[in-house]
Amino acid sequence: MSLRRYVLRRTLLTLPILLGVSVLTFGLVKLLPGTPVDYVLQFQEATPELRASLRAQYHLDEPLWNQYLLWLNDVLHLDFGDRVVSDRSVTAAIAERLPETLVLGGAAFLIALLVGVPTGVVAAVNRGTLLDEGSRVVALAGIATPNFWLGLLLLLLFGVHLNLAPVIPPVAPLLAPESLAFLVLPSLTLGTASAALFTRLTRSAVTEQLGREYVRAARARGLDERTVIVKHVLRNSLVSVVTVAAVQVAFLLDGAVVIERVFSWPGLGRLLVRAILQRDFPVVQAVVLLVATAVVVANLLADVLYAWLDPRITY
Amino acid sequence: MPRNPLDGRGRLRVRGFGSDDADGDAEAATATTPTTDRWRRAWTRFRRDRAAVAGLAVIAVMALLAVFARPIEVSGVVVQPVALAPYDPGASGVAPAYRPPSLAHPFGTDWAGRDVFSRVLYGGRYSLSVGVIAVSLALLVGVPLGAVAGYVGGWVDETIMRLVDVLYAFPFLVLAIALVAVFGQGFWKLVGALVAVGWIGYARLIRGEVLGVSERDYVLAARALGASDRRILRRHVVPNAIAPVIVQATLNVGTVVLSAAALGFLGLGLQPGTAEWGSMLSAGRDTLVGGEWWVTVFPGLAVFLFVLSINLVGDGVRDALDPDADTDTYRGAR
Amino acid sequence: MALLEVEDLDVRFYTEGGVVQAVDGLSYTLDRGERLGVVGESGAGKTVTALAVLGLLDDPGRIEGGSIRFDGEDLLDASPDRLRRLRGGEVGMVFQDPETALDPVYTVGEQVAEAVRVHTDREGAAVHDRAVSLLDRVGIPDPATRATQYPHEFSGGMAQRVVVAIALAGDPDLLIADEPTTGLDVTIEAQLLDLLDDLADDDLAVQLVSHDLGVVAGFCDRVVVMYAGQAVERAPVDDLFYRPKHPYTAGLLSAIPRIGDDRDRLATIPGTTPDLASPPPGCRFHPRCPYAEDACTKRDPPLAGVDGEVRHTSDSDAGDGIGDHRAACLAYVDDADFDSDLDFRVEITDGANADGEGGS
Repeated sequence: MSLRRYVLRRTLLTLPILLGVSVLTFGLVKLLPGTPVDYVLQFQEATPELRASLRAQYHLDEPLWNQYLLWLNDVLHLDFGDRVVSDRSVTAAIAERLPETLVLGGAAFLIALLVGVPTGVVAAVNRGTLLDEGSRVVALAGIATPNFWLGLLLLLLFGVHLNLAPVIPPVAPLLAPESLAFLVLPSLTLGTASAALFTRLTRSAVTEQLGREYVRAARARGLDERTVIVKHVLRNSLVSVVTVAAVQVAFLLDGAVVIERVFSWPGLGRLLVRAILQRDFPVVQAVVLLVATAVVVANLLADVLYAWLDPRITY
Repeated sequence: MPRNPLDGRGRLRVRGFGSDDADGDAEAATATTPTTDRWRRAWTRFRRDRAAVAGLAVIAVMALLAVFARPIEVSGVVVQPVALAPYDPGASGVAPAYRPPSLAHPFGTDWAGRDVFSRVLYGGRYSLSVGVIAVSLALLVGVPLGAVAGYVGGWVDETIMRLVDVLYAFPFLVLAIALVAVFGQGFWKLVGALVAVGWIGYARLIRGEVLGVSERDYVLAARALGASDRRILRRHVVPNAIAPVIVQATLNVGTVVLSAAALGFLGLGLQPGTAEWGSMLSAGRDTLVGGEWWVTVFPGLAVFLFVLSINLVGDGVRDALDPDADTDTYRGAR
Repeated sequence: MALLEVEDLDVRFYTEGGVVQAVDGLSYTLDRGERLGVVGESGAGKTVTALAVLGLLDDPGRIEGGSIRFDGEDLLDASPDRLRRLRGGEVGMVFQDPETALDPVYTVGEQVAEAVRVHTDREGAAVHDRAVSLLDRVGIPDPATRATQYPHEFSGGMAQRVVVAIALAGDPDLLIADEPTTGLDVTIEAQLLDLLDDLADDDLAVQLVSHDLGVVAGFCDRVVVMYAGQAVERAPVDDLFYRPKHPYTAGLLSAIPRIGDDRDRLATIPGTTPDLASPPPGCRFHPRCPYAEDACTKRDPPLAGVDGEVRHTSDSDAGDGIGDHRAACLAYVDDADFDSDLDFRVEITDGANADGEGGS
């Protein structure tokens, strides 16, 4: 099977999952007591005409499956409706916050990847030494530390006691130097647990490869150790790294929700939590749907990468 | 090539080695080692892992502290009278607000003049119980579903696995948040949300193990002997497949405690003002600029200590049950 | 001077369960163009020996004594660089499972080319050409196309040929084959042995490690039988099979099932191989030997000559004359307190008249 056909097949297979995700997200809001109309009318004067027009707007008189299809149609056109707390469109609110979360998450991911993977490789190659044991201890601590606690401690230390960093983000465009400078602490915090996971799992993958017969065969061929490690072992370990990376997407999204609160970073996470406390359900629905879709797409990309990395998969 | 002496089967015959009385004693003088129960062996291996044992000790101490923090009453009868916590965790104004740690208040006081030490001790109750209960319930849901899916196969398997795939698309915390949003806050709703999100990991894991084990020869042998499906599942498949699930469940207690604390931090956990580690950190965040570090350090330290210990125990359990597995193998489950 | 001289080799594994004596005082030689078979059960130390020659022992294992000389050069003293050039260069190695001996993510051609690049001066297109011609040499049809394929696209037998091709890239003088046919079907096995035979005729020395007596009997000139880390018998192949001198060898031969056998059960050597962390005192085989006596529990027999000329441990055991036949049994040691006769013998059931006689 060629790579192209494989990609097509995997993509088609994710469609039912995306469908399921949409059904679940739609159903979740339907489980709420009352109707969206009641929530909107918390903030406005409740006249019968308004109520009727809102009911029509939310298609509440249609059968359930039809409501779903209408909602799905809207979603596919990127129309998530209006916010409950204001008249602004949900889509606009999300579009405003999305880049912030992307930058935070992206930075954290890069940190995790660039710190975690090399550490894992070095630990595996130097198995049993102080370097290895030390990195394992540090990785374990990294995984056990609640990221919000770490963020708060860093803020306390650098922001309050040492006065080196601002406690809230500067009022400046996202890519301005002050904003990026502010991002250092939050992305470090968010990336720590991921880096620890990358370290542990890379170490495990490389150790497993080192025990394989082809490594001994490669040495028996007269290849120097560096070639054996870099050309053969690492290449074979990449599949495991991709697996970990795909899982980190969901993990980082979870973390971003919390870290954005710690650092008052105006991203999707803060929007989500605020929306829940304000009972702004169109927003909750939209963010959850978006996040789940991102995870599915990330996993699909990982699948494609596997196929490209390992010739046995498309055989 | 020289003529192969063994060419032509039966050509060479050895006489005299003992080949003529071949019916006899293949019973040689090899001492038979007594077989020990696999669980006992695992326990012996676990005991040798000092880090794991240390973790277990820490958890035991924390559990004891949580139980004996304040008296427990069941229907008016005082079941547990000891109060290790010097103050009522909910009592505000027992001391001036925001006092740094001192002899009277080892962890200082918070914004409402409450003793942080007592609150941290008492908060252990929520965190530990959420962790244990949520994981236990998730096991009760996930393991049977996964085992059935793996063993029965067919459309049952397909349905359950599609559901698992869809649920897997939602990040753990995000889905828990959504569930709390829909169903509300409170202890049991929190547990419910964590169970609803947590069962999938075990289902997938045990399904995979069951699928692997079902192919094994001893299962085929049992079936050939006429054992019923349920009996096979119970006596052969599940005991062998359960080991990675136990490891994952142990590690997940830590994950759940972390998530519960995160939800508390976000204000989505128990009632505001409850002495729960996550909520306490939330209050700490609000007043960060004041520099009162003790409100942040100690509750977070409690979470960190617990999760670290449970990870050590989990790794120890993994090594004890399967000493050949490398400690960090990714199992694909939450 | 022999091509490979192993003398008194001592290999130990330092494990959690104790120190395992994997190879104990092993000595043998291999001449240019000669084919030596190393046989024994699993765990006898055959593979460890092969790996030790190339310095490929994994961590808990260490060479603790003895010497290994290749073409006069002491390998245990050699620099890591020298050892690296030796591997795949003068000494090639073929492994048991070809599917796992090849890196799954690189094409077969690339892996052969890799070896060519390391051991020859060729560059660029010449490397590729040489790789293809090596694949041709080992009998892979349509080598140019197959060089672009991955290991999982090859059958077991073909993959093993690739491994042989890689081993040949450095134009070796010695090929160590560790159970090369164990994972293969009998017909494929025969083809591979034909290939090895063909290559060996070109003055390539082969050390064939196997637990399959049939393979060794058909291919080798001389055989070393190993048990529990020691050499228990060493002889030219005909001598070994027609006139075995060590009870263990006799046991192995008697265990080969034969068509037309009218016994109810297959013969086995009673008991199991000893725990190498705490081997039996004296002769390691004595718990399973039907001829064992008291003396056998006290003294570990040296590899002594069996042809009436009794030699003692003071002589170097390593150098064999072509007809040398030695066995490590007290029956052949003059001053041992050994009384009974080793009364096994080999009967040949066709017309041929080899006289099989055991005993002291």
